[in-house]
Amino acid sequence: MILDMLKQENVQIVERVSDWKEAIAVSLQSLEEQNYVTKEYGESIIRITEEMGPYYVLTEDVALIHGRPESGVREKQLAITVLRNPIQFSENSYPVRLLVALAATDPESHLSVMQTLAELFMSEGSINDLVNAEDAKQVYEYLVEFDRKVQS
Amino acid sequence: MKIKKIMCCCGSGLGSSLMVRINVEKVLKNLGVSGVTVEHSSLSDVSANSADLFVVGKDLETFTKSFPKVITLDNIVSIPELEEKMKKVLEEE
Repeated sequence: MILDMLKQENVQIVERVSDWKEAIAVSLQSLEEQNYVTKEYGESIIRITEEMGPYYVLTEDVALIHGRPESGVREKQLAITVLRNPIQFSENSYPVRLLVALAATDPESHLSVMQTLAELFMSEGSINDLVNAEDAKQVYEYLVEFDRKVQS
Repeated sequence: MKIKKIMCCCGSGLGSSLMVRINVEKVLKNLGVSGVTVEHSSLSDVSANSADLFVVGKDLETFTKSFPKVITLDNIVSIPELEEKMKKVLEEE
């Protein structure tokens, strides 16, 4: 269940970010504040991005911001950020409006959440509904309902 | 060679590789194929002998060049693309 890893307070809508590093920082901020990840987690993601490119941009509008468990994950958790204005992580990558920050403690224990995310990411209509939601509450409720359908 | 084990890989070993594993399992079910193990891992933890078939995103193409059988996905979230490419590989057996 996505509810096991996502709190409503960790869903936010942000007007704009100035660059991709800020996008990563903004997407991880609540997880950092609540001690799910250390500051090092975001830094490691930025470091790998500089070496390998934005490996977490999965498709149009979607980034699954994540790093390795040993790079500063304390407890598994998700945070969702909708950007009103899209950000590009590199010249050739898709513009992104939905940032899903994932803190995973191991390769497997977030399997059911990933089942829901996999369904969500391939549904253009759902992504559109999410990025056009009126407020964070609507985003959260949409995700909970989507998750319920996938998991039932 | 009969494909008995499929390995889905990405850089971290828990993001897109897990997502692709979920999709590969769905496609196998769609195609009515059974008896195939599907795993996911970080690229740094696998070698050419780890599986009979590897599935990776296009961004990792250069790292899997030496592997015998690889499916490279242009759109890592797409099931239709994965299904088409898996069908082809499975028919080659």
